[in-house]
Amino acid sequence: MANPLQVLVIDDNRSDRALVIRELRREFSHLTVQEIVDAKDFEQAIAKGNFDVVVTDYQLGWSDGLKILRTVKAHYPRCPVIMFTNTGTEEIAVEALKSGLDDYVLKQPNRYIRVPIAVRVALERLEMHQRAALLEIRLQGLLNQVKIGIFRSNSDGTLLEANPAFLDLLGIESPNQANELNLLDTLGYYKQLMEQSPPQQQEQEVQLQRRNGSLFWALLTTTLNTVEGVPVLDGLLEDITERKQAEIALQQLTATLEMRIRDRTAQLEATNQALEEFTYSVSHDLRAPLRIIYGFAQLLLEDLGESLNSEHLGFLQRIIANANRLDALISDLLTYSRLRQTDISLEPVSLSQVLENVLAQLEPDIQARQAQIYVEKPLPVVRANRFILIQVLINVLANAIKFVADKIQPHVRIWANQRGKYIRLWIQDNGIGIDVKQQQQIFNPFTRLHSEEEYSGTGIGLAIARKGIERLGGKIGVESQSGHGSRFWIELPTVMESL
Amino acid sequence: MSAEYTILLVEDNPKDVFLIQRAFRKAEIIAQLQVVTDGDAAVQYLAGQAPYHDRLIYPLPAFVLLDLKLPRRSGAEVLSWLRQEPMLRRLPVVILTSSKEYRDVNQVYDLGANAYIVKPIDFDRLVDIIKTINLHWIIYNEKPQLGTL
Repeated sequence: MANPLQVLVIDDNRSDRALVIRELRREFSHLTVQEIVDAKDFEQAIAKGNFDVVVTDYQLGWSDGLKILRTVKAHYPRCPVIMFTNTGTEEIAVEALKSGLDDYVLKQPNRYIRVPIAVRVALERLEMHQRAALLEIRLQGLLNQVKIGIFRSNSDGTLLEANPAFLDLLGIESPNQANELNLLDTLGYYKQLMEQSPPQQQEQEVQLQRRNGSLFWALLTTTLNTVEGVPVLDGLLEDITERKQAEIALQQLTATLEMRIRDRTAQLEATNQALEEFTYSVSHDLRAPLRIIYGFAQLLLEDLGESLNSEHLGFLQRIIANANRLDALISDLLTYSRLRQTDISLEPVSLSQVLENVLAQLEPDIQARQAQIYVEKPLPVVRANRFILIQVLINVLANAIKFVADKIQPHVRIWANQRGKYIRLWIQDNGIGIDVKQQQQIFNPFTRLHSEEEYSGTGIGLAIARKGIERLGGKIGVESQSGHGSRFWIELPTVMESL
Repeated sequence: MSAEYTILLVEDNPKDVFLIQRAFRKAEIIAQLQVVTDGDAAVQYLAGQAPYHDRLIYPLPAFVLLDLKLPRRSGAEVLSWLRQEPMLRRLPVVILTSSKEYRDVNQVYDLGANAYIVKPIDFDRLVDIIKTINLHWIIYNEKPQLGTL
């Protein structure tokens, strides 16, 4: 002990004091003793307060032990007081204990030794009390400070205690108010937990009403506990209104966003459709006057052809040639825009049969270029629409034959392989190839990489191919390098049975 | 021009009429080509109503070349009227139009068209088509009886 223990020894009998002090010294090595023998000494000691414990006789010439006790406790409620006397009665002892006496030791020769023990016990008890008090203060402080409501209720739902945060949350002044207004269904929560198997604990988000009628969202954690054999419901209540509001706001935002995306998509689709319908009707209507131009130019050629000079003949032939080109363009545009409008049905389609059809349609081009086409048979069956697939392959294959360097014989190799649930059909040519940078653009309408003089065309062929494949739920792509030929592929869902 | 057969052309575009007439001439077809330029006129002609009541001048045709896009009454309306007429319902009708719409094609077949031909851009192909139609409907084909039930 760092500080010496300071003891007031109050006894009129000098030898009694000496005996007590001797015993105390034996027990406490660090000890300061003040011996009090009259009222003046006592008053001074009380005024100074420089003592830790009081040992007093009952019978004093100038006072008595009860008065001493009450005076000390009045000034220093925690200071232990031990009465050491042979004159006290049982009544006095009871009275003294009621007034806060810490111990009562009978003054008999063999009892002196008990005084220091009583002092030590009293001091230890004091220290324990102090520690407990400190702990309680700290706990209470915490409970008061936390924003989380804490409560305990009994098995009939009555709220026993609650912290200030709980009262704040519900806008009440005492747990009783919560009981009266039935703001929290403690009985219900208790019953919920009773039905559960251990650990009887649950967490839920609840909407509660404050005393003023306003609503708020709370996270409620309830646990079933037993305190001294009695079941109780312990609960934590946390205000989550802000989180909940944020959640709701987020949900609303998401919903609004989704709705806007839907609207926008619908708008875009409508615009797209309107555009394609426009393309269709314009192309359609362009055809009639074109047919007249073409027809009458042909009549002129027929009627005057022989009498025209070569220059005028050339003019006329150019009109006819360009009308022809325009017709091809309109044709492709119509095919392209019709791909969207047509309702298509998907069915098992034999790639072999489709290719036969395609090659037959391309026969004039194949003949003109003396192209060699190798088909690695057998080819599988795919899920597609026959007519659209023919359109797609005509356009891909026509390119394979067309975009080949001058004086080179076109060689086209066609084969298929399985890729998971898809069949990939490859069309490889020995053509001029496509620069990597341009491979993304070629599937867009009106993408032309060459002049009309080099390779004629409408620039819509691969756009038709891609649109067609998309409508079939497939994919199209190309692997190519400028000058090294191209390898186009289309991917379509496989069909198990073979045709 | 003395012709054994008459063909009724229902076509509103005079330039198309001209080209088709030229094609007939180039195909060397001696049938008489009668032309009306709208749907109502087609109905009047076929029904023998004024101003087409004189069957000597406006004889019933061996077949009708019918455009679909027509003023007043569309080709489809003319066709469906025709198929309701007891005395005319067997008359062969060849649709000659610029539309390639599947919807149109199916619809007019449902209404009872006998053929559906898209006007070609190339005049020489038009001549081929006219020749083929003539061969089919005039030369080879047994004509149905009209005017009987």
